[in-house]
Amino acid sequence: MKRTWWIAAFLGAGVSGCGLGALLSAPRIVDADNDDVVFIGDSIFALSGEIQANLHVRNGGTFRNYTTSGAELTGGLINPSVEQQFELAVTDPPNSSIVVMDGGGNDILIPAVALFDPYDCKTQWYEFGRLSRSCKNFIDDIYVDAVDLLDEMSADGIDEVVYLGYYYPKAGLLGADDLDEAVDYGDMRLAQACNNSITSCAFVDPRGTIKNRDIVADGVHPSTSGSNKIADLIWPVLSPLL
Amino acid sequence: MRVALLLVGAATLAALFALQTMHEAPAVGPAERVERVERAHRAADAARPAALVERARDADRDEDAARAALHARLDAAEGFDARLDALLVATYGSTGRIPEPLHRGPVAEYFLRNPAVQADLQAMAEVERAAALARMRTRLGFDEEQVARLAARDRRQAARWSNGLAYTAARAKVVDRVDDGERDAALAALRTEYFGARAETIRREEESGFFRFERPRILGRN
Repeated sequence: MKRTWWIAAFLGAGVSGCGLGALLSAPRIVDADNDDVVFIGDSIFALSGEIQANLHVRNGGTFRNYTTSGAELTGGLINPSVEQQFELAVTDPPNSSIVVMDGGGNDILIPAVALFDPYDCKTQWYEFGRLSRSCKNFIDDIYVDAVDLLDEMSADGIDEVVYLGYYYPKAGLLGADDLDEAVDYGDMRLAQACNNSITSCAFVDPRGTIKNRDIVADGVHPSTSGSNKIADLIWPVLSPLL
Repeated sequence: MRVALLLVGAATLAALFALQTMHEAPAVGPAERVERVERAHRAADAARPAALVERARDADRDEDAARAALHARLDAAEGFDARLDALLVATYGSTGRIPEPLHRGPVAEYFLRNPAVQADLQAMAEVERAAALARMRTRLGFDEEQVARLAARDRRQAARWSNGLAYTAARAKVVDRVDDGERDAALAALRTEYFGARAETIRREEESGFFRFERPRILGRN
């Protein structure tokens, strides 16, 4: 039980589904210095807010921000999900034409670490290359959610998307190691969602860049150096679009 | 003996170091990474004491057994609501109350992915199914707004699948009856007819061998 409270805290669980998740997130920015760009996603962006802060400095001003700790791609109980964040961003004036996002990681991570790994997404060291069929099927559904959301964005006037993939977690408080193969398969599927979507979408793959020392003690979230490295990956893709 | 232990220890450390540095390696292609990590894993396995390997396998077998036992309890219960009771009691004890909100979404997803639960839902009329899904979500702690939102999502998914299955049948006819030279154009027209602006997404998926409407339909989920 103790461990799941840690997990709840770190992933940003909300007592009513919208409390702590929002409390553990960088502040929402509805009207920014540069409204063309809106950030949506989960705690990789939201928990410390350092990725956006780095990019704000480079941009010389803020971007819109709806990222929320604990958010799953479309479902879950943490409000708002990534899909709902996008709907909120579209509903709130002003309009944006560029989305920087992540999403899908919590969908895989939460059941694996907070429940009993029901889809067998964890692979121990001796199981390398043998990610279970049930985990692949589960991730395939997340792929469909992702590509549908990206297509929806095109219909809602988004011209460009920068989609940040996931890096390998390390052994830490959340017990999220043993997910490397799920991350590989998930990133492969998310990159396909990006490529297959009718929205112009660039997939940013952090796996080769984020090292264990760039991840904080929970084993999942980026440290300051990790956030800066992720910003280094995003900026060359984002800046030509501005 | 001491020398042998030292050798095993050194080999283990070297293999573990190789695995650890996979994360530290500069970006490499997926195939190359798979090959490198597989090589390191093989070396690590060879260097590990057999007892350690067996302990890890035991832990994995325990996890598999727990999953199978839960699956069997859901199978043994009769009907949609009884299966939900069985899942909650098996996972959270006699009160069947989920202690943490974080679990609710994943529990709903796990429940819906169970084949017996899907059979229950498939046997229901549309109105009955919508009521059962709303009841389940309310029991799991979703509030009124979320239940309504998910119901709207169910209706959108149902329309999408109905369209997708009609397309899949029409596609099979085109593949069967239209000559090679004209097939691509016929399929492109068919995709546009069924999916409009999203036709290109479907084309790209099919090109990679992914046929989304040939995958299992999971009522309440996809």
